[in-house]
Amino acid sequence: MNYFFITISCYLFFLFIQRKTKLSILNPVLLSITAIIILLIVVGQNYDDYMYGGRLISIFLGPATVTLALPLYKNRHILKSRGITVFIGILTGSFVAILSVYFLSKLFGIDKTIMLSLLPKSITTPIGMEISEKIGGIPALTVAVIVITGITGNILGPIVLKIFKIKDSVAIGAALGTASHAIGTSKALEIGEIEGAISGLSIGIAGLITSLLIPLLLLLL
Amino acid sequence: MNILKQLWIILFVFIIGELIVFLIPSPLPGNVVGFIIMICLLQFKIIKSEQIEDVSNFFLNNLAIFFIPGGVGLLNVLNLFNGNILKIILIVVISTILTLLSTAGTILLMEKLKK
Repeated sequence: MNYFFITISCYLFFLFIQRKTKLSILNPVLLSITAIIILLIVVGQNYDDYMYGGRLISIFLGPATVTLALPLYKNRHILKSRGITVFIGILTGSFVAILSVYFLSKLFGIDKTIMLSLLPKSITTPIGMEISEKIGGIPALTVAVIVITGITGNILGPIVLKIFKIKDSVAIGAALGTASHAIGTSKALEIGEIEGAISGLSIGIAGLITSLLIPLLLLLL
Repeated sequence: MNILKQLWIILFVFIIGELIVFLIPSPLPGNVVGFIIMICLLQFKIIKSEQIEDVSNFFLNNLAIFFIPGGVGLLNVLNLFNGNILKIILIVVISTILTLLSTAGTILLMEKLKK
């Protein structure tokens, strides 16, 4: 089967459904992943079979991240006036992301290996995988949880921020990028260019901060 | 500008980022290093925004689709969730909400205090 074509078809179909229904829970990424996994199970093929075509899409993930530089460059004036507060916001958010996973895992009685795999859930996959491996987590599980976190932020982010009456573009962008990396950023870009620009920046900063914070916090806790 | 040339510039910057990370151990992955290089190239006017604009907009407008193949990888780790799936989703949801609010809240609170 041509999974390159199937992936694009699924995405466009579910995007169409979401635009018609305007229901954020009908997230095109979530539904496409679910549909493709079900299809693979039904036809009895594995992930390698899928990636023969799927790779044609995933190879562009890295270059796509590089293009996040463009909206940030266009809105660089924001960083001159609000750069420091944005940085402190991302720092606080990253701290909360790690500590909340740690304490919630204790509360729910989650195994230590799984807890360690969950710690870098809010940051971009390449950094998250590496941290997970370093601290004794399961990198494959971390990747899965990172995608789940991204979709969660993408769906819940706009709703939660609206409930708390947060309307500021810079705050919205930083929140989406820090909590849910590039999948959150794709939502930020839909909301507006400033949101997308700050969210893209937050991916890099949150990733860097988290890679330094996790080993440090594990020493202290 | 020619779409192929635009794509070439973006791929080139990405590959330079990957190469730097390969040669010099870094806490950041190659794509984030490429992102930083691209900002510098734009800032120092070595690349003009028009030279990458169309292809960048294509990527940015469709950013979500590039995560689908990674997400399908869930297939391989479904067994690792081992009955923990509900707990894990609950942790992810609560932690994501707390992260969203603490990030946005800190920025808005600090700027209120500054005034």
